[in-house]
Amino acid sequence: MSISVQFHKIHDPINCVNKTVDETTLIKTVNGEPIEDEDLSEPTFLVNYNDSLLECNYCYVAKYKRYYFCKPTTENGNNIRINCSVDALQTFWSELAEQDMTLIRSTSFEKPTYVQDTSLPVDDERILKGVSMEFDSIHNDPVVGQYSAVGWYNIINTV
Amino acid sequence: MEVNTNIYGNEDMWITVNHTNWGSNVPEEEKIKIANFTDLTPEELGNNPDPRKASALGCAAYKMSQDSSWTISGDDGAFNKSVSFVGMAGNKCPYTSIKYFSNINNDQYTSNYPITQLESDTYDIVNFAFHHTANTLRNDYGNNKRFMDIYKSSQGGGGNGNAVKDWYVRWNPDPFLGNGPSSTYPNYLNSAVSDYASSIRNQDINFVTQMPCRRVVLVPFITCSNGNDSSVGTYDLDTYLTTYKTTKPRIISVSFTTYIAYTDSDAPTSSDKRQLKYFAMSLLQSSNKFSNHYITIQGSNTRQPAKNLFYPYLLMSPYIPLGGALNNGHSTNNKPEGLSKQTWSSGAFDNSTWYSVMAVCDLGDMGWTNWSGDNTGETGRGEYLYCNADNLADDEIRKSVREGLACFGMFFTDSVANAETKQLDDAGMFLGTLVNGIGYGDYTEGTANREQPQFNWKAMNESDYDPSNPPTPPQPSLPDNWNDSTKPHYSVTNRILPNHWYLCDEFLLKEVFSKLTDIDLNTLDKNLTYGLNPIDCVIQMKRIFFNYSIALEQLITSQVTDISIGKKSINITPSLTNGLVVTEYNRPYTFECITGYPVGEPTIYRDFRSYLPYASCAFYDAFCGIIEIDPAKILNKYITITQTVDFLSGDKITSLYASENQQNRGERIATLSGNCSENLPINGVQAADFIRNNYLLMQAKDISIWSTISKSAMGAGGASISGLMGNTIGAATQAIGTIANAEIASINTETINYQLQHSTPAVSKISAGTSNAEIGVVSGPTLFLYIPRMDDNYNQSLYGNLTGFAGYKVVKPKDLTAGTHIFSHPKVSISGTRSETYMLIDQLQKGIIIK
Repeated sequence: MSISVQFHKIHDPINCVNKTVDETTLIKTVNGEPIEDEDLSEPTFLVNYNDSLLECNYCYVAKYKRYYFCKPTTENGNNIRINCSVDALQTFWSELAEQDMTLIRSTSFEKPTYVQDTSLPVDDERILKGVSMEFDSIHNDPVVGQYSAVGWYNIINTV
Repeated sequence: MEVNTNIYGNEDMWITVNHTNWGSNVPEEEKIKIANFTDLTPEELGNNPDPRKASALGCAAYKMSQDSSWTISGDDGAFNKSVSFVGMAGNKCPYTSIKYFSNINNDQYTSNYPITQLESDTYDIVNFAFHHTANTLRNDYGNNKRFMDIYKSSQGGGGNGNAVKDWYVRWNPDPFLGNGPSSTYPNYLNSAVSDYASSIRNQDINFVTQMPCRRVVLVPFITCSNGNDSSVGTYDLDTYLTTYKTTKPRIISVSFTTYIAYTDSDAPTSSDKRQLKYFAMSLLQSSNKFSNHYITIQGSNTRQPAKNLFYPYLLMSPYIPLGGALNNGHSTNNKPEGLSKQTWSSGAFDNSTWYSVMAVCDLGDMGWTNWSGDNTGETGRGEYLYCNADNLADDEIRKSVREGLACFGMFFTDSVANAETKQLDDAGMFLGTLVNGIGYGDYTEGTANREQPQFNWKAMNESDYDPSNPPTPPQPSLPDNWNDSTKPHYSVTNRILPNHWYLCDEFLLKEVFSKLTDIDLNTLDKNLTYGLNPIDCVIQMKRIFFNYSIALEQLITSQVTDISIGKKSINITPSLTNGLVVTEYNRPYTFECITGYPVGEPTIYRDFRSYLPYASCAFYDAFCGIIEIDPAKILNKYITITQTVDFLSGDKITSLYASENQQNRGERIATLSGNCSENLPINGVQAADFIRNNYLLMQAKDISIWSTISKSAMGAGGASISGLMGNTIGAATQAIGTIANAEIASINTETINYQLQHSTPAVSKISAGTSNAEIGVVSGPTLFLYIPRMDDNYNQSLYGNLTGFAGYKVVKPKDLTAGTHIFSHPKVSISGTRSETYMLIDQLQKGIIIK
């Protein structure tokens, strides 16, 4: 029993969740013959030989409702064997998108947070800042003087 | 500067302010222009259009509506700072420090609470916008009636406002949003002014997008009153100083207004026509203190937060506040309103009680520290703040006002008469100096104005200042005495007169020694001296290392006396001018210092790098040592340092406190103690001891405790300062030895030799007297903050996109923005197989990318 498979050539990274999979990436829709038992996660299809299909790296199988990464190899002069591996991220993203999860590293934090980030490229050198107190004016109380802080200064930029 | 045309419209769409008083031959590029928020050209809007037509849609409310969101964020908001052609910075700019006063407790509502400062905001750089309107702003808003009110009360009301929690910045009057016309313009525009004027008042905020540099002169004005508030008036600076300063010493506010410069022959000459009356200004700064900005919605029972809303103080035309209360509702001929309790009974503020907050700027030497009226409570809540001119010389006032105005980088002068009659390069005409587009309060006068680039700019648009990426302002200049090492004082304790001791400087000590060793046997009177040798009358002499000679003089001026040895005066006349201070009192003195702003601004990163172990903090005081402090205890807090010194013994105790506010010292964080004195020899045995000890101390000369601290503290990131605490005795004593060496050169002829009291000083002691440049800086109690420096190649945006920032947040993935995202142990429930679920979990933990 042959199954309709859309073969694409995509350019997005593997871990991208909203890959561009449309008519601009579509190579061809063909019928493929699943070999061995149907395996939803890693199916293999035999399709009629077509040069363009050797360039495919992605496919969508409507029957399985799944996106796959795929790797074509020439079976013989008449067929191409295409090994597939499910792209769970793209396939189940719509279900995933509604579920609460704990984000621990993200662009969306926009800047370093109060959570330590050991990957941040902090230089070994450190900047020394200082605030020093200088006497400025006198308090009315004869035994209490008042200083004013004169501000933060770069005392030493680097050593 | 480049105006954000997405917000304010393209240049060719800007509306020329067709001021009736412009000369006829003023080029187009030298006219004042304002933003056009519509899609209609100036021609389509009509000849000389009411500017409100162009800005009716430009209010914050419109932007909120347009975005289908209640949030105004950053540069995308209606108050876009790209119109700020100059940045203002430094302590001469009044707007860099804004203090907030009210007559309520900071934490909880309390009636009859004295007026006090609640918070303050400080800024490195202040951006601003000029505004222009076709008519005088309505008399029921602008800062006449607080366009932007700041209130403090209970969130959401509930009736009594007894739980004061939050600050609120309210638009007043409310911006229009919804419940209005069908919102399709131009019908909307056509009807806006007449039909909806009462609700769309933000349309009067017309941003000036082209400011002609050579066409406008700023003139400062003083609003002042006499002692009993019966006569309030506003005069230009020259007039005030020459005529009214004596009779009206209460300066309620300093403000400025704009005049057409006397550069064009066609320009009118009368002051009535030269004044650009319809100018206002707003500060485009977010407040650091107001976490919630709430905007009330006209005709609606809801209020909505506007996050990151710029801090749009509209400073009312024609007198734009420069010093004093920004929102005190002052009038030019009536005394201003005081702080008040208010109650809303409609809309979102259901019967809540709100207390108004006054925002105040000091101006140079001019401080607004006096309250008129009774400020003890709600009923006698005080009326207005004023600066007492009696305490200031004319030149001090003139200098403060000029420097404040100079921050705008524009032409200014002291009087209306000058603005009307003088050329831009005449004496008495000033031009603010810009450094990389930032005004720090410096200025030129007369022909020197020609040397500045603004003199030739047609409009301020030619400024290269980029408000979205302003240059880092330099740190404030160091005080003149900053590099002084500790100045020693000398205490001489008298054996005869109880509790008589004298504190003097090194020159007077020389005189004292001369007298003591210059014995005239013919005149010696045994009854008047203690023994045969006058020096026997001296119990002890100490050299006190205490840096605040001015403070000390002020402190004990009233106790200056002649110096007596035994019962005999040695005829040395004390003189404050040469630093001599003499006191008969034997008591320790306490000095206190508090920072005027929270520590860390703007040094800290405001993320994990500002805390241990990445950042570390140390507190140091000369002769007391250095102690490590957790940065978390001091960052963003007001620091108070107390220093108690006993000038007889040299004992010193220095404490560090940190508080959320300036009203109290808060928690004691650290205490250091030590002795800042050394004994001077007064007999041969002591001198011999000193020579021996000093020789030993010299052996350790190669070791510098400060360089040890520097190298270690600057070493590997995250290194602790604590390792430095156990420094060698040799290093510490060497430092004191260095002091001795330095001082011997100055007074050795009289004192011959010294004995160091600290032959075995405490481990923690270090000195402020070494020759190291760094230690020379460290003359007073000092807080050090060591913060990590980022790698030169670090690009925050790139890092965020590729790696993502560490954090912790529970989210739905659908809400994430583009970029890299990594999850922790996600629980995944999908319709797929078990292996697919595991694959998904694995992927989420390794990181996903959203385009």
